[in-house]
Order: sequence, then C-alpha cells, then structure tokens
Amino acid sequence: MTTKLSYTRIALAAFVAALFTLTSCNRDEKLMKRMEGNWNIESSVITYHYANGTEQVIEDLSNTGRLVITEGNSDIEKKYDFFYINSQLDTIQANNQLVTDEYRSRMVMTDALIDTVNGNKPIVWTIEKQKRNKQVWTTFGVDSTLFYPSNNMNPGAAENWVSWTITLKRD
Amino acid sequence: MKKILTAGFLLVTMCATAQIFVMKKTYTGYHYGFGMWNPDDLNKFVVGFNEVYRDDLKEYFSQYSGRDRGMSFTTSGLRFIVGKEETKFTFSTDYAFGAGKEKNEAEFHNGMKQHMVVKFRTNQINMTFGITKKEEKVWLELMYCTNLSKVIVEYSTEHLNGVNSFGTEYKLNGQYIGTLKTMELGIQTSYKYKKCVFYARVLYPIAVVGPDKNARTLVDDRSGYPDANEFPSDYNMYVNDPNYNANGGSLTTNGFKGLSAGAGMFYLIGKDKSK
Repeated sequence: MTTKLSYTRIALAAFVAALFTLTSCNRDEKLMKRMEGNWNIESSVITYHYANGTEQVIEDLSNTGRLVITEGNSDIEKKYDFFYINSQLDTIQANNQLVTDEYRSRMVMTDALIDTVNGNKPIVWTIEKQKRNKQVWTTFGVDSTLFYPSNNMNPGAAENWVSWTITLKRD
Repeated sequence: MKKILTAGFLLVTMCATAQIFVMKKTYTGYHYGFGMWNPDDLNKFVVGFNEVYRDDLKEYFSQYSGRDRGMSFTTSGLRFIVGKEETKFTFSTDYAFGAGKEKNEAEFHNGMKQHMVVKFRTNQINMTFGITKKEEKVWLELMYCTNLSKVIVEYSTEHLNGVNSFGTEYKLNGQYIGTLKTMELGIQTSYKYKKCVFYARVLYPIAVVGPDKNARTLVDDRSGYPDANEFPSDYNMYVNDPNYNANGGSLTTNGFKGLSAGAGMFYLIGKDKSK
C-alpha cells in the first residue's frame, strides 16, 4: 500500500513538472497547427503615417486575395500559398514556408519578395490579432518604402511610415 | 554532472519505496526571488544607443542596476525525512520554473517609441540535503541546483498608430534569445506549519556548464535580414561595422548570472501515512 502511494506521488510530481514543460514549449506549435486551412484576405489597408501625427489611407480593399496554409516540414513550419492583388492590378504571388517565433509576435512568409540580385526576402508580419477564424497582421515601412527601407536604423529621422494591414478570415 | 543527477534521482526513487521514513511527501508551491546580474554589457548598448540618437531622443533608455531581476517561481517536488533521533535527516528533489521581465523604453521627438523588454526564463532542478530540528518543524539544508536560464530581448518599435512592430522596417526589431546553464550551490531554511512549509533559499552559481562560449550570444532566428542577427552590446560598432558580431560587438548571456535569493511557500500534498 505504501509503495503504491509513493509511486502515485512520484507520478503526480512528474506530471506537474511535465505540464509546465509542455505548456511552455508547445505554444508556437499549437498556433501553427491552428493556422492550417484556407484564408480569405477580407480587407487590406495601406496607410501613410506622418511625423506630424496625420494619417492618409492610400488603399482600402475588400476580398483582395487569399492565403492557403498546409502541412509543412515540421510542427512550426507550414507551407503557404499567398495571392494578393491591389487596385492597380499589381500582384504578390508567393509560396514557401510560413513560420512564427517562439513568442508568437511575428508571422514570417519566407521568399515572399523575389529579388534576383540580393536574394529573395521574407515578409515579416507583426501579429496584431489572433483568433481561430480571424487574423490581423501588419507590416511597416519607412519613408514611403514598404519593404526593407534604407532608413532602417533611426525611427527619429523618418518623415513618414507606411503600414499594410491585412485582415484574414477563414473560408 | 549528469551522473550526479541520475544517481540522485535513483536514490530518491529507491528511497520512496522504503519503509524508513518519518515523512515522504509530494509538494507544490510558489516563491518569489531576486537575482543579481552584471548589466555592464546591456548598459553598454543603452549608453551607445542614447549617445548615437541623443539629438532625436525625447526620453532615453534607462540603465539597468543589476539588482532588479525579480522572478516568480512555481515548484513541485518530493520531500523525505528519515531518522529516529530528535535531529533527523531530510532531503528533497524538485523542479522549479521561474519567469520575470524588465521593461525599458526610449521615445523620439517625433513620437516614435523604442521598446526593449528583457525577459528571464529559468528551469531549475534542485536537490537538497540537511537536518530537521524542533520536532521536524525547522529544516536546515544545503542545495544543489542545475539552472537552465533563457534570456530573451524583445526589441520593437511602437508606431504613431500605437502598433508595436517587430517587423523589418527597423533592422534591430526582433526577438533575440540566448541561453546559459549554470551549476549552483546554496542553502535553504524552512519552517513547517501543518501542511504548509515556508522557506527561503540563497543560491550562487559556481560554474557555467553551457553552452559553448561562442554560442552564448542572443540570436533572432526569424530576422528578415540575411546578415548578422545577434543583439549588439556595442551599439556604435553595430551601426558602423557590418561584422560587429565577429568583432566582439554582440551581447552575450555571460552577465546574466549571480547571487539569487527567494522566499515562498509550498504545500505538502496528501495524508502523511509514514508515521
């Protein structure tokens, strides 16, 4: 009886320890698993933010593309297929790996921007809102350049910032 | 060291089934601790950043004192007391997870803000051995701790619309992670009142057991930029030298260790059937 009780206590302690470990390690894996499926770009808003505090919406579109996320190489690396078209009929069409970071602050679309000279670059989105059926992601640029601006060190020296926010809704 | 831990674990497991105990119990609890650390390398970054952008800054980054690493710990483990005399022996093994953070912020004249949050995560495997006094109510013990620490620097830019961005508009934005594994020795004193045990512990790192010296930098694996993605210590070097990481300009986890102290309470689970 005593032996049985001791084993129970050891098992209980091991369970509590394992619970802490598992809940702290697998949050990014759970997020990425939840992301699998078809997403519609419900809205896409590009806004200029000026240093004097004013804002100007350059483009506000609805149902302007889609994102398909499928199983990838691992629990934290999924495959994505992204299509976006703006009011000028310019498009971004990309597919490769979609990854997040350990603390779920970013969603990274690898090789989303084709650059034959310097190599392809990812689009790094900051996750603003994260629900099972709705996601809001934003990426910023500086001095009218949305991706990888040259003035990328000193936020105090910019004249304006440009943000691109997409709202994704699960199909 | 693995052998010591394995031997300790086996000893505890074997003893758990033996009949020589005054008490053997599972426990779970909480304590709050403060840890000292050496902030020189991080302050070097702070001073460098403030210096480079002094004309553009309305509020500077604050320097760290090195005495302000507060952490909350949750712990679970096994506790044993053996012996027949007034002074008995006690030993335990437990796992503790601790977390804490320090926020820092700089603001530019144009309203943009730079946030730097330093997060501390620690996983401790502790083993204690000591004596009990006053009818097993007071315990005095030596502690051995294997401490796996993770240091995370979250560096982000808050835009005028209030969104806190980790994106590529600013090169340093990101989440930088580094680890440090230390072997620590210390003392613990406890007072048992019914099923609650109030305890205080002091630990001091006696050796760094990992990772390798060259692998103690804080790295952002998800940076959009192809070049060095290590958090800098020397900001001037970071701005002027693309190879700052190879030339000793990166922040390392070496300074994130030191004397630590904590106090809290744990609860002994279940009825004591040993008596």
